[in-house]
Formats: sequence, C-alpha cells, structure tokens
Amino acid sequence: MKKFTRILSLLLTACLLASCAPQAPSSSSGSPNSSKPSGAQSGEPAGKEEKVMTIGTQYSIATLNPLKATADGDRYVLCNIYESLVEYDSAGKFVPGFAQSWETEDDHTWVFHLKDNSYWQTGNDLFKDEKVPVTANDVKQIFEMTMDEANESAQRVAVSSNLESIEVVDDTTIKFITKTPDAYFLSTLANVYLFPPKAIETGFDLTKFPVGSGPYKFVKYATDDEVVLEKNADFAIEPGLDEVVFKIIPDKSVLAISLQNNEIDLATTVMPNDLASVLAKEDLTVVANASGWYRYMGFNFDNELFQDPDIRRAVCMAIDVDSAIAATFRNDANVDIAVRAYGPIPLEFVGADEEAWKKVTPAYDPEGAKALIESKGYTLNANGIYEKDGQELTFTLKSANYDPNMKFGIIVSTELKKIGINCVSQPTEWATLLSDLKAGNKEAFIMGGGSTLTGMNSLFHSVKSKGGSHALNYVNLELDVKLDQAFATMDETARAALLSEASCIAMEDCAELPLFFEYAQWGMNKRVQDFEQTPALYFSLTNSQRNITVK
Amino acid sequence: MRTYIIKRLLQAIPTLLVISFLIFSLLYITPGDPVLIMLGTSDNQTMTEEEYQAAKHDMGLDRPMLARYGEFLTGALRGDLGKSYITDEDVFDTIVSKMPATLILTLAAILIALMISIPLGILAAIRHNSIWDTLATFLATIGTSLPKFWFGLVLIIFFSQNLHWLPSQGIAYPLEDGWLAFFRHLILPAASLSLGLAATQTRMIRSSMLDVLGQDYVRFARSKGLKERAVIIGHAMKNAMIPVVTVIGSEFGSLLGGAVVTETIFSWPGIGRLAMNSINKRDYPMIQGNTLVMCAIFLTINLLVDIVCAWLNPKIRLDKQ
Repeated sequence: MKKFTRILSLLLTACLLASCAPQAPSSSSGSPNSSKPSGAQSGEPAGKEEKVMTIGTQYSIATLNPLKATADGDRYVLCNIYESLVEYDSAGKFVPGFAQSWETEDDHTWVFHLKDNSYWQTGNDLFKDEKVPVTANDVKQIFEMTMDEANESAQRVAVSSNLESIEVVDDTTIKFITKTPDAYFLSTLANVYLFPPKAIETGFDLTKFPVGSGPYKFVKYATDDEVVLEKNADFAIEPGLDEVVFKIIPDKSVLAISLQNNEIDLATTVMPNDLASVLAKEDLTVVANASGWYRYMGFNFDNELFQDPDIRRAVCMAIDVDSAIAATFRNDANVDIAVRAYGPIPLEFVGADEEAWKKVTPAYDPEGAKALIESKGYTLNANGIYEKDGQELTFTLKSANYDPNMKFGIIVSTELKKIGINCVSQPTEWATLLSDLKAGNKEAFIMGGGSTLTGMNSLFHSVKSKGGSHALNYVNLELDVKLDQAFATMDETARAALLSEASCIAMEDCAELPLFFEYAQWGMNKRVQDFEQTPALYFSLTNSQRNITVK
Repeated sequence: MRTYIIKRLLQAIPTLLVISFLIFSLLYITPGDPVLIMLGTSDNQTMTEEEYQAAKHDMGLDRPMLARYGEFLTGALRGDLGKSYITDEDVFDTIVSKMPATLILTLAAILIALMISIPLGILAAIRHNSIWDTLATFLATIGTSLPKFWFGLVLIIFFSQNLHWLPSQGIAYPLEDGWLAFFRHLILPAASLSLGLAATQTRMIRSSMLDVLGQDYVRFARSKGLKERAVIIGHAMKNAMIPVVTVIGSEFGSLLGGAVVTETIFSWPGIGRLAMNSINKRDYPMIQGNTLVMCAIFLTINLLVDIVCAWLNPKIRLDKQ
C-alpha cells in the first residue's frame, strides 16, 4: 500500500510538473498534421478545415531578430514574416518582393517601384489592430537603421560598403544610389528584411515578437521545439496556408522517420540512407534542392608547400573525384545527390561554364601526378611516401566531422597515400574547424560555400574574401581585377563571360580543387503543392513566384 | 539533523567553486570561437577584422581568464548567470524555462525503471539460480551495455516508423494538447532514458533482496506461517529498498546528464538539449550556467537522499556520522 502511495505521489508530481511546463503550441500529437477544424476564432464557416503545413528542420533558431539573423534556420522562418525589396528564385534571378519592379537609370542608380498594398502586420503590441501601410519612407529608414552601427545589423557592412545615398521619390518610389557600379546590388538588398522602423524607435523587441509585412504572422516560438506562424490576411496575395509550423528536429534520421510517420509534411533534408524508405511510401516523394551547394578542397596559400602550383596540380590530379562522389553518395534509391564540379559557380547561376572549366581543371591522372612530383625533386622513400631533403610530402586535410565532407576527406587522403603523398584526414568539430580556418591553423581542407551569386568574391577575391569562412588566403591580382570587372558589369551576358574567365583563371591555377555540387534532398508529402517549382526555404512560402499550400 | 544539513550545505560551497573553476578552465582551453559562431560566417555575411575584434571585446573574450571567472562568480552569487552569446537571453531564465521538461522526462524514466526493475529484481532473488534469475541478469547486462542513442533510435523505428503507435519526436503540453498526447510523447524518450537505470536497479534489487531474504527476521516470519507474498512484500522488500533509494538519488543526477543524448534524439526541449546546442555554438555563459545548475541539483539531491534514508531507517543517525 505504501509503495502504491509513493508511486502515486511520483505520478502526481510528474503531472504537477507537466502542468507547470511552459505552454506552447504543438502540432497534432502523433497524428498526421494534415488539417484541423477551424475554430470560431477564425471566423471561418463551420466545417471548413484549416490548411496547416508542418516543416521539419534540423536547424535550431539562433535569433528571430531580423537585423541579426544569418543562420539558415532563422532565415527559413523570417522570410515569411518579413518582406525584402526583392527576392531571388532557384536560378538566382531576382523576382519582385516589396518592390514590384525596378530599373536602373545609370550604372549607379536603381529605381524601385513599391507595392501600395502592403501593411505592417496587425494583432501585436506594436501596431495593435491599426492597418499601417509600408511606404518608401519606411524603406529609407530601414536601410539607414541597418547601416547604423548602434543597431548591430549583420548586414551593415554589406549594405554600407557600396551605398552612397537613398532618395524617396514618392510613397511608392525609391532610389538607391551606389558608390560604384554593382551588378549584384539586388543581392545585398535581398538580404535585408523590411522591419518596422517604429520598433527600433520605440524599443519594441523584435527578437521576442517579430512583426513584419510578410505573408505570415508570428504566433509563438517554443524554444528548441517549434515556431508557429499564421496567415496574414492583409498580405497582397492570399497565403495558401492558414498555419505554418516549423518543427525543430535535430536528428536527421528522426526527421526522415517523422516524415514517414506523417508528423511533418516537409523535411529539410533526407539523408542518403533514408531515401529508399521515404520513397517506398506512396504519399511521399523527394525533391532536389533548387541549386547545388558547392564543395571544394582548399589549400592554405600561406603554407609554403601549397605556394608551388605544381604541387597543387599534382594533388588535384591524384584524386579520382568521380569515384569518390559515387562512393560517398551511393544510395539504395539511386537518387543523384551530387554532381561533379569542375568549377566553383553553381550550375544554375550566371557565369557557370562547365565546358570551359573542363579544359582547365586538372583531370584525374595519378601517373601524371607522380611525374609532376618527381620533377620537383621528390623521391619515394621506404614507406612509399615522397620525400625531399629528408622531409616527407605530408599534410593534414581538415573537414567537418560529418558527412559528406568527412567521408570525402577520408577518401581523398586514401587516394593521395596511394601515389605517395602522406595526407592525413582530420575530421574536426564544426566550431573548431571554423576557428582553425580563421586562425590559419590548417594545411588543406574540405569546405562548402560560395554557393551564392557573389560566391566568387567570397572564395577568391584577395580582399573581399577576408572575414568569410573560406580563408584560402589566395592572392591573384589578375583574378581580382577580373572579378571586380564582372561584379561591376550590369549586362548579364558580358558578366557571365567575365565570371567564366575569372573562374577559369582560378581553376587553371589550381586555387582549389572543385569537388561536387550537392543537391540536398527535401522529403515531401505529396499533399504539399507548389513547392517543387522552387524547392528551397530561403524565399517565402508565398511570393510573386509561388504560393505553397496543402491539399 | 539540522547540524548535518548545515554542514552539508557548507560543504557544497567549495564543491561548486571547484566545479565552476573547472568548467571555466576547460572552456578556456577548448578550441572554437564563439565570435565566429555568433556573427555567422555564411556567404551572405562577411565581417571586417574591426567588427570581429569589437564583438570579441563586447563579449569580454579579450580579457584575462581570471578576470572573466571573477566576474562570472560574483554574478552567480547574485543569481545572475549572464546572457547567452547567441540568443541574448538571460541564462538563468532560460534554464528555469527548460527545467520542467527535463524533470518530467527524468521522473518518468525513474518510474519506468522502477516498474521494470522491482518485479524483475525480486523475481530473480526469490527464484535464485533459476532460469528467471539467469534471464533477469542477462537482461540487466544487456541494458547496461546498450548505448542510449541506439536504443532510442530502435524504439523510434519500431514504435513510430513501423507500428505508427507513438510520435517519433517532440513534446506535448497537457493543458493545450491533452493528457493523452502528453503521455504519448513522453513514453519513448522516458523508456529510452530509463534503460540504464532499470538494468542497474534490477541487479541491485536482486542482490539486496538475496541479502535480506537470508536474514533471521525473514526466516522467523516464514516460521510464523506467513504467506510467502506477505513475507516478501511486508518484511523483505522494505529493507531491501534502502540501498535502492540511495542509488536512485545519485542516478537522478546521472539521468539529467544522460538526458543530453535522449533529448537530442527525441527533440525534447529540455536542459540536455540546451546544453548540446550551447556546446555546439560555444555559448560559454549558457554552458557554464547549465553545468553549474546541474551540479547544484546533483548536490541537493544527494543531500535529500541522505535525509530520506535516515527517515526510512531509524538506525541511520546522520548527526553521529
């Protein structure tokens, strides 16, 4: 009896604690999250079902502050709450956002024609129920606040580096004047969320309760659990969903299982091992990410060994990249997850020129690699490793400690050892890897990135790559000039030619070894509509190009 | 008793000081740069060296370690554990907001462990050297050996993916989602977390029961003609439970630590997951605060266990120890 009483006490304690737990919304527990009956609050006719979509994401939320957000998980949510002047599609083409259209008066002056039917979201402590239009004056103030050091915006440097002035022509027309011609000025603008200036003026905390003018309104964020958004009925286009839930599921295997269990509608990634089981379900499918993510093997140019272009070339020639890709991404469902990269620009973007790259990027030729190394005075020692003046040809290859980079690092080091280069694979925890790259504590490394419109600058420009995560420390003045020309060329065809030339210079010099473009696979329930056209969450679920909904 | 409690509380102070210094020192020598993580290093964002240094200065990371430790310590004495580098939220408030989820999970795990280990341990003891004893010992050995993350994934695959009985991840809140949803979300993570404890408890109850069953008062109870059930439940079990209670207390702290893995796999938003995220992001204030609070809980529970043991067994006199 006493034992029973104790157990009962424990149970009651648990119940009490549960009742004390922070209250947060949760998608229908365990059951498919499909649709739920709308309540009287929504004012919809009885019987109509709400359209709810649950997105499973492995990314935790770092911040919901529109000025500070840079991480993928944050931007997935925020791009639905906030508008930006322009957005871009899967091919990197700019599409209307808050600006309906735009033109350039000259190489420095951009004129934007803004929507006249966009309002700051209501139902919050900032605007209450008052419908306040978003105007050109707001936009000017937003960019000034972004450039103000006091506001600590993550976009401050990018915006202020080339913005000369902003002129409001009328309520729906605004001019941006740049210091120098900037072909991708729109890319800079696309990264700035239009937040209400009133929030900064009044000290309203946008981190705790984001308020924008986008298609979905913030409802709740249960830390490390989920973010809930609801339809913004005042948005110019009627959003296709009544509610969007971003469910944070850090384990990617569990993410795939949740998709199969109909707990989520969309999984931000499906690992190669899970593809077959996801595709085995009739109501599920996978779609490749809108554009390829570039992965490469980089060299530290501060290291004497890699200052020799012949050594870099020999290393590149010794690696069978195609076989490594096949081994890394093999899966039972035979889904192509990655394609060989011969150059550094994602194939969907302006400047990608696979044919030209193939001519300059070293082909797999282990015998040629050996000959090149021997021509530098190296000879094989008793251990089968090349050495010169008693020094073995050896270096470490750092990579993130998760796949595919880790697996690729191991394969590459094995390949190099086969021809007599003692390459030691060193999978490294992500935060440590970042600080090692910045501090120059590296020899060679496998890294991803540069998969944006201005990625070439981030990768290779001797000045503009500083402060980024790539840190090749590569200096090639000819390439710098070419890149500066390309990014100042407004004509797309001419710019494509210049970017192609620039990338060929880098590839010919073996500035890095391009490995592959990864097309991450989204797991999707077939009831989700309009996502396949532009499979990515960097742009809002409802915009001028798409309006995602569920059946 | 009062003297004992005061003495133990005073002993906790140097323990916490040493622990806090160890955490601080370990974080100091751990590679990884919170500034890089906080500012982000995506292609969409680059930072100048000046910005990097300014952020480092704002976070106090350019100051000597002892100065930072002193500041942390004086803050902690006032109940101020600082603010998160990443989210800018108050560390103490964040930990407090996550604590109920972890406590629920831990208590549920203990409950499940007891529900498994008590009958299994008693069965193994009263059927000593039988097939039941071998089976219980075998299961306990397996339970101790299996890694929690693996067992958690197996539970998810079996009960969620294959049978569709239970949700694979997340938490439900009883007042908003209902009690059924709450328990359905709780079962798998709690079962996964309870595995190790159930195994050790089974072995402990078995050996404790074997010891008690050989005592004179048990033989006397049997000789009085009491039914075996009455002997086991009324006389043997109560005394056999004293070491079990002691172990549960210390295991409670271990379970809080073990919750890091379980909470990550099951997307359970407790302090274990908070610790994991903080470590990945090198959020030093959050890691320090989290560890310190966990240690304080551990010490408090140990103290409570000692008091409960004395209450359960009057032979234990804390003041004389």
